[in-house]
Amino acid sequence: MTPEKMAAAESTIAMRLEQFQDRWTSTGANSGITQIKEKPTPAQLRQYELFKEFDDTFLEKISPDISIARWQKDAILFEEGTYVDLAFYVISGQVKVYSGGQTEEKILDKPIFDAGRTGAIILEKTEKPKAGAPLQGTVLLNMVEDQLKKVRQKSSEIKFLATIGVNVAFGNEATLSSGDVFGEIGALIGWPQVVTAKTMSECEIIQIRVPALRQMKRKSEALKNRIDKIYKERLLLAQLRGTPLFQKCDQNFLQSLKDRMELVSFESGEPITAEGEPAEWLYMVRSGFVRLAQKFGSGEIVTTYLSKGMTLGEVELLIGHTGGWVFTASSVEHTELVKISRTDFEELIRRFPPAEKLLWDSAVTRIKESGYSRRNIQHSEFVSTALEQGLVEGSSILVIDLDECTRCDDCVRACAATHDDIPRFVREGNKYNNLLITRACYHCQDPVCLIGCPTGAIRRARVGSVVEILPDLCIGCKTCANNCPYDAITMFETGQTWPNNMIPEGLRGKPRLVATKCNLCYDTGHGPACVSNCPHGCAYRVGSVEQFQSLVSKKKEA
Amino acid sequence: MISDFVKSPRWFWMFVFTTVFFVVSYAAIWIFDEVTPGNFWGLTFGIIATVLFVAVALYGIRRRTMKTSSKLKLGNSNTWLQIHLYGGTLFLLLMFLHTAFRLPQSAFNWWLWFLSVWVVVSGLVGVLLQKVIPQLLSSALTIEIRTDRIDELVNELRGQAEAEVAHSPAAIRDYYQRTIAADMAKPILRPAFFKDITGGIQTKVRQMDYLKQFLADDDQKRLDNLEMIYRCKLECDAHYTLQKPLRLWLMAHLPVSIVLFTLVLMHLFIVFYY
Amino acid sequence: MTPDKYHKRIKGRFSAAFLSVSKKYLFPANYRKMLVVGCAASILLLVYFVLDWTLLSSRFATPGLVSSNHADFENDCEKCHDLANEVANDKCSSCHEKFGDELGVYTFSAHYLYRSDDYARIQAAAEKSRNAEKNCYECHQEHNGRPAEITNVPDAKCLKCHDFGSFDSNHPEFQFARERVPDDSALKFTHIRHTVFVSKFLEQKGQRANVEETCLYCHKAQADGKNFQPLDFDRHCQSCHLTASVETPLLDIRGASADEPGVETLGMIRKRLGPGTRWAFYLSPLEFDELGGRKVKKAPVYHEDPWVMENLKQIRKLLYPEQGLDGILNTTPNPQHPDFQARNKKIIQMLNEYAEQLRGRPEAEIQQDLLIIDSLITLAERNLKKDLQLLSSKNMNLPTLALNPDLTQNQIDGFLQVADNLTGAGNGLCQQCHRLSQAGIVSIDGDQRSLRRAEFDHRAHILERQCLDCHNIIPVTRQLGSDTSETKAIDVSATFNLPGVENCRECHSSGKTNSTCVTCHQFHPNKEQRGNLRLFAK
Repeated sequence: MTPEKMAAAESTIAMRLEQFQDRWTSTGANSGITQIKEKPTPAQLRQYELFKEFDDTFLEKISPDISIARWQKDAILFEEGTYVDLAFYVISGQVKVYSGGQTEEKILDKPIFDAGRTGAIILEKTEKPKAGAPLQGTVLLNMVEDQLKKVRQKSSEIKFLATIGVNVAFGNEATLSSGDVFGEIGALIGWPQVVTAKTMSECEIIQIRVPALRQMKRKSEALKNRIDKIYKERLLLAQLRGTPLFQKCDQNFLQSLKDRMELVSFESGEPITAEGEPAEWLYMVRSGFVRLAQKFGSGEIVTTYLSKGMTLGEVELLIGHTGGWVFTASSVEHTELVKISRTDFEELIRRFPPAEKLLWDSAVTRIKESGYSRRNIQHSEFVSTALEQGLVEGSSILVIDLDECTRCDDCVRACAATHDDIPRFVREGNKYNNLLITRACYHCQDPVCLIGCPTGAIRRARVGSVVEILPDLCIGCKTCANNCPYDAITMFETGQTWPNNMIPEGLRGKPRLVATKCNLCYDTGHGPACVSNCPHGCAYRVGSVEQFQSLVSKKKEA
Repeated sequence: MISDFVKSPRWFWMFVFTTVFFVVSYAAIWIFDEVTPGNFWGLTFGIIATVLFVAVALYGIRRRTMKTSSKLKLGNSNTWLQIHLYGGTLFLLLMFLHTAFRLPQSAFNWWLWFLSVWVVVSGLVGVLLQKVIPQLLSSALTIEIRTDRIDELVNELRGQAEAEVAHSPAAIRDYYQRTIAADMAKPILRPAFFKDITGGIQTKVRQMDYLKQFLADDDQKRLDNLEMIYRCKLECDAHYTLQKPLRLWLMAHLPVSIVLFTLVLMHLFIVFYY
Repeated sequence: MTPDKYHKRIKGRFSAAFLSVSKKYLFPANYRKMLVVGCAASILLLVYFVLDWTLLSSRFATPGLVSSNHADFENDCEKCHDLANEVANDKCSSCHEKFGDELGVYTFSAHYLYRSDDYARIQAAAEKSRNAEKNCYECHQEHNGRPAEITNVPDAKCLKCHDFGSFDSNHPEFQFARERVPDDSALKFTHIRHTVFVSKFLEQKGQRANVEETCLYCHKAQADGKNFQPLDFDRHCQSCHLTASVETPLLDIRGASADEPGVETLGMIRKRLGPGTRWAFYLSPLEFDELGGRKVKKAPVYHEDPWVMENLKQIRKLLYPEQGLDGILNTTPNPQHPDFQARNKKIIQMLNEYAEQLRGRPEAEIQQDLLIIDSLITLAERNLKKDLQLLSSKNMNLPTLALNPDLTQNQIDGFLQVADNLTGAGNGLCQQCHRLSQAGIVSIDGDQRSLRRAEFDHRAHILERQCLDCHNIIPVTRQLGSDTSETKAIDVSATFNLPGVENCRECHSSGKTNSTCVTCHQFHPNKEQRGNLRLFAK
């Protein structure tokens, strides 16, 4: 590490230390931490089972995101329904996790996202299982199962899939002790916790943040397997059954398949397949987006993209003589896929004609798309832009039609008026033809802004809902603003300064900055104020690439 | 076809229908009876005109009370604007029907008549501006800026240009000083942008192309960068110039409409008092 | 944490902006400026308005200046206006005549009643209009500037009820023209002959006479030049007709019984001493020539000769015993409206008695009064008729009276013959010009006016038109030598010689001269016409 980086790390540590302590006070959870050790050394970490297999460099790299905390007895680590981006590894002591059966109330009564606009899943209230009925496993599993039966099986609508890290039967509890890990899947996939974790005695716990977790998972086969195993046991089945591909397959087949299939993940820009290489696998996207490109001229042209539930490799496996991969597939941001071997694939198509039909349809569509893109550069350009600018990610992007916008700023003013005179977006951004894609929160399906907030000020408002920032908790560290790839989170100066008795000493006397972002006006009872207050009706919230495209083509015709 | 010109054909046809209705009813009344401002028919027209006037004036309040309006779910701002536009035009028509197309006789009535016409006509001019200028802006400009930031943005651009020029050979430096530097100094309001929204970049491009042949590859890249910066600056100016009328137009419309409102109130008072 | 993994995708040329956060952002400066300017201007305007209203009597707020007639009290708004009310009719009648009572000039009923003597028609309309009183200001609109003529009411006001469009489009034909009411069917008069005669007469006297001057020899204009004075025997006819040489034929003297039709002698009348016979004492017996006590003749015979009239009266009394009216009247109308028959009868009775008293007096003034009484009674009589209530008696349909059933046909014929002889045309007597009907002379309407509901001013037209330009049906040509046999057929006074509406339209139409309603018609009756109203008053 260079001296500069060391110094930076030091200051980060210092900041984090203070923030960390503050965080636990501010969430309202009983601050049960008696002692906390940030950035443990590799040596310290390697004492524990979990980290044994990693080398020092790696541990150095991930150590800023790991802390060892000492908790007192009867302290609440996290409560049911909260989002936690930590995984916990119990060194010593006992932790009880239990669900209080309150989960149903946490489900939304009404959709936050208007289903027509953003295609979000609508969660409805589910009933408590009848007394005496056999418990089918985890609480959320029940919810998901019910839900998936009702919802049409389109990939764009499968947004949030549940997981919990621990198998807790409904109404019951479990006790975890030394060597147990919990919370990692919730942290990885970004779903609220469905249990409350409480210490039964004094505990020493390692707390690992998501970035470190992800790295560890990639690095460590064992960890990966473990996580995958749990995931496979608990939730993969449900997820698979929810996808169009595996809908019609029978339970047994899926049971056996899930044990054999691989769970893989890729980071931004990482290639998944290379054109021309032999194709032996079928991939299905679990989360994130995959960019498909083909050789064109002296470069590569983007032809199409894949989202949740779509498959990669059906073209090659079904047709056979394509000379290997037809596409170079790469991950747009963080992507998770399942990987199925050729034999399993053959069995799938042999035993389940609906699946085969779907795969053929998908193959044909893919070929059509690629052919179309190659001949129509403008379509490829559009797809490329959509991927580039993150339009695929967003479930509610504020797009302004500049042909009608009179630059009156009423949208920004309305936003400010609704939210204590502070606007939450800036009427600036990239232009696509005559459409301005403003720097307002895209409401990503996989929001990265949630990662790393020291105080928990940025969080999901409710289960499956918008990400919001609580100004009272925000200490202005700009982590979320820096994280956001689209610059949608803005800092504003409140004009105040931190008091001189602030617990994080580094903040004392400094001007108070607060982060702010769009929350779709979810708590106001009316829709987004920006849209309804535009006098010319030229502000649109676009929920999908198709919607964006229809806006573009509407203008082209006019 | 209509939807090419108006945003919402539904409102437009409603407006046409209402206009035709009023004109036809006026003609019908004229056949059987007469219309004077004071008799039953004239009063009816006048009352409808007043109601319309008050209703459309509320639009101004709607726009400045966004929080309350959203909370009370009073309707989209766009709907209010459509009502304002069509209602305002109908107001003028009804005012003419109310006076039976006669010119006023007294000073007070002249004020009333003239200001009504002024307000509605200035409103229609505003509609025209709001239709033409945004399309003009988005037709040829690649960037979108907020004009309240323009000073800051121009300064940034100038800084970038000067930084670029500092590392450039004398040829570029001289060219910059002579032809471009003046424009980079501050935001410029230039009406010529209405005719040529690119701001006459063609000339400069030709000159720079000429200059390029004398430059090394690196310097050519620098010149290209300079050209991009200059283009950006011109686009900022174009935005600045074209967005100004959109702000200024309201000055011709709003204060006069407040005075007209007062006049209408006074007119109501006079009519009912005497 | 590795931020570079989540690279910024939005690479603009500019650095990020900070948000504008002040309250002023929500209500931008230029917007505030506009509001302030607008409100300031409004407040100034209001202040000016209030000042003007209180101190300057609303010079600013008035919709127009008051006309010059009312300009004296222009600043005294309360003279006409009431707070929050329309201008009430009382305000007008504080200076202009009181409205409201039946005789009021400015009432709506007066509008109906005036000019028309068709009481039955009016009655129904009057009922309807009693509650439909109009406001003065509906027609007479003020605040239209100093030179405005308030009495010049625009056509649109009249056309609300009288839906005629305009004079040149839909105005109906005048009544007399529509019904072709002849000038005078009761008089036998040869216009052309007389015109030729008069013109020669005037030439002899040394006055060059064109046709118009000849017309004017008899038709003398009234003082105001509007119409012509009624024709008068004494003025116009006496110089040639009923000269001293005219005498009755020898007539049988009436016998004691009705079997012997004949005339009464002066002596017999004197002896009778009946009502209305006092004149008999003033007539000279030298005018009579009795022959053998069985025949008598009179010479000269006067116009409206009392002896002739008395005899006719007696004959009528005998022949038509139920005529109910005797003495003065020439005609015997049949009462047909029991509703107001009593009232009219009362009038008539009253007038009759008055006339009876006067009848005995030969003085000229008395005779004049009697004429007036006659006309009044005539008027009253006409009210008893069911239809056609013109003021003029030109169209009087003489009702059929019931003959005396006690008389034989011979007797009746005999008496009728006597009446005929008494007034014979061949002898240059009454029937040369008058018509005899049912033993009575049909009266002639002296009033020359044909237009009943409109005003016509002859003097105003005299510069543009000559007499024959409009009265051109009787072909009195300018050459005056056209007394041919063809013209004889129409050369009677019964010819309709009045111009119709088309004639007027030659000048009175849009684009030419005045053709508004008020040019000829009046809503409120003028003073001369109020006489009629009194008859209809309760």
